Amino acid sequence: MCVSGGRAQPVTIVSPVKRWWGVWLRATWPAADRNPLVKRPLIRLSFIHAAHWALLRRVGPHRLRRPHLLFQTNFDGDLVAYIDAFSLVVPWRIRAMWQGAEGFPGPVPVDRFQDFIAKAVTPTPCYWCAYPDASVTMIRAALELRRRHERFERESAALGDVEFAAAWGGFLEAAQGLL
Amino acid sequence: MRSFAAACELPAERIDAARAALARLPGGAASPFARLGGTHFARLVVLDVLPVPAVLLAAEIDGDARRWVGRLSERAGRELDCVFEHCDAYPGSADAGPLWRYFAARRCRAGFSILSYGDASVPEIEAALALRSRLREFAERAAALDQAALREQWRTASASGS
Repeated sequence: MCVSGGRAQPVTIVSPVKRWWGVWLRATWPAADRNPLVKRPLIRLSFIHAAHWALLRRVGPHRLRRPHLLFQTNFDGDLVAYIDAFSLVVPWRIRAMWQGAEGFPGPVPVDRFQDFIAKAVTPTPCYWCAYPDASVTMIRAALELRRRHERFERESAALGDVEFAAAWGGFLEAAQGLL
Repeated sequence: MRSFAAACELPAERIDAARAALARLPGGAASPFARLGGTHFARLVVLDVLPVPAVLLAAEIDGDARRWVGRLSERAGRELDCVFEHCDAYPGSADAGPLWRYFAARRCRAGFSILSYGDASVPEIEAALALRSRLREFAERAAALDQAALREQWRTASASGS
């Protein structure tokens, strides 16, 4: 079986949406996708590696009678916790995506939203992750650490032993939370 | 990192065969996606809930999507064919040009995306994770070193990348 995500898990969800909702999504997505204020709370959830929403209006040459919202995510942890976080932390962003989806009960109460998602999930039998042992938090920490390490290397290159030891102590203290 | 996805029409009578083909694909280091390079995540899914069933190929990749499909053709063609031969109009993987046109015509472009580490590529992420691991190990060793040894071992570690 072609499943090798490790820490990262895939979820694929397809939901038919009302035609006017498809129009709404196409109209609002360009600005939302460029707006850090819209994205920041979702990024702060810290368990989503990458997630995408797309609108399917055709499959190959076949036009669909209703558009379908395709949601794909790559995340750490379990789906129940993921949906809980969506429901409790970013409910308005969830409404902005799924309000026009068939059967969408709203982000709250969370158990109805959980049921909606559970019924809409399509199995993902073949999945690959390039860094299966790393969580989102680990990767972000590693990228920040790399940036600080490069600066430390530059700034400490000409230091003597005593100064270097002090600089190393400072670097280590500041980077503790990233190691 | 950018997303690439294509939904390829699948006759209803071939759904089970496509699923069986997906189930036979190897995972882990033997996964066809492992050979491509520049692939953060990838998935193959049978979307039988659509009114027109489809096989979804979706990935988060570095660089140009056409080049990525070219690598699929070169390095994972056999596995690709085993799955997509069940889809209508699939041209086969032997020639990257028609393969790209096939997927491009079926592309599902993301309208809204969350990308947690911006533009970091797969090699950058792998290098950063490896560095983090080395720095943790060095920090543990450094606690027992005097100043001269610390400086020397840092120089050696930096030079060797370890």
